[in-house]
Amino acid sequence: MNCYNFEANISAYIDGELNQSDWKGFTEHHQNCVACKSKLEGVRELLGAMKAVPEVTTSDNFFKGLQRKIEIHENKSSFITRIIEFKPFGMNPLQALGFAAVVTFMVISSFMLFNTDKLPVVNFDELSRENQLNVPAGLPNQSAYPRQNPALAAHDHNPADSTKDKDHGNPPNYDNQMQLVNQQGRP
Amino acid sequence: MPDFKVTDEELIARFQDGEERAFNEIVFRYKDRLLNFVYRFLNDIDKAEDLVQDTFLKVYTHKHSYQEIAKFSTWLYTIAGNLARTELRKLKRRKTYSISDLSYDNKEYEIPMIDNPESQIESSDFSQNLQKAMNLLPPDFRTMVILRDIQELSYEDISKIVGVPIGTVKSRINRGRLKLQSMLKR
Repeated sequence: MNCYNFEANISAYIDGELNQSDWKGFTEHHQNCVACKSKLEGVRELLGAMKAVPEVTTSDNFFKGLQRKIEIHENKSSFITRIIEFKPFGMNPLQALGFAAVVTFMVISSFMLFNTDKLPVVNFDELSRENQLNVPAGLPNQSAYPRQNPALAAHDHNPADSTKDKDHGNPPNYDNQMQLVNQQGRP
Repeated sequence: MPDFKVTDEELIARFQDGEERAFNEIVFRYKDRLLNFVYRFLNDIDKAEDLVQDTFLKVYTHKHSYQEIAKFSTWLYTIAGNLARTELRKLKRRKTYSISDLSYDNKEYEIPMIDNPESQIESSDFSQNLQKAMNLLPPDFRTMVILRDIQELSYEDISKIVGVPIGTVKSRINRGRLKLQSMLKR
C-alpha cells in the first residue's frame, strides 16, 4: 500500500471496515511510513477532540420564539384560507368568477344595444346628394341606387383626390364609379 | 416528564393526527441536537437558533409531508441542512461572512489546498480553532463531518440526509477529516 491509498483508507481503518488484505497492507505501511503514521494519529486525535467539543443549548426564549413564529404563520394562513374558502352566494370561486363574467358581459351588451343617444347619426340621403354632385353628366343619379356604405362611397370618390389630380394635370379617375354604374345599370 | 419510550415516528404520527403535545415532545428531543448541527455549520449562535425554530416551523406546517418510509430524524436533519445551506448562500451573497473569500467551491474529487491554512488559525482554544478550520471546508464536506463526528450519525443516515451515495459520503468524510487534521496541526 502506498501513501495515497493509506490516506484514502484512514477512516475505513478507524471504523474497522477494511478487509483482511487491505488491513494487512495498511498496518504494514503504517509501520514503515512516519508521515502516514503521524497522519493517522492526527485524525484519531481530531476525532477524540471533536467528541469533546462543548455542546451549545437553545436559549430560554426558544419555545416562546417558536410559538410566535407558529402564530404568525397561522394568522397568515387563516387569512389566505378565508380568501380561498370565501363562497359568495354559496358558489365556489370558479363558479363565482364565471357568474361575474356573464353579468359583466350582459351589462356591457345591454348598454351597447339600448344606449344609442350618443352614437353619430349618418344621413345617407345627404351623403348620396354629395356624391351625385361629383358624378359626371350623363351618368345615372346615384341616389337612385340602393344605399351603399358611406365609407366605401367616400373611398370610391374623394373630392380632394380629384383636386389633386387636376393640380397634376391628370383627368379625374372615375373608373370605380363607372364600374359600379355599369353593374347597377344592367337590367 | 418526556416519554422517551415513544419513538420519533410514533410521535410524528400522533402529531399528524392532531396531537399538539407530540410536536412539543419532538421539539424537546431535537432542539439542542439541531442547534449544535446548525451552529457548527454557520458559526453564528443566534442565526442557528433562528434556523432551528424555522426547521420546527416547517415540521409544524408540513407535518403531512413526512411519510414513514424514512426515519423521522433523517427528514428533520434534511430540513435543517437545507435551511442552513440556504442561509450560508445568503450570507455569502451579502459578503458579511468573514471568511467568504477564503472558502471555495465544492468539488467531488479533490479539496483544493489553501496557501497557508495554519495562518488562519491563531486562537489557542481548540474549539474555536476547530470551528475556524471547519468553516474552511466546503459546505458538503462540512455537513458530513459534523453529522458524523459531532452528531455521531451513521453513514447510511448521512447518505439519506445529504442525498448522495454512501461511498461518496465515506470518501468525503475521510478527506474532510484529513483536511481538518492538517489545518489544526501546528
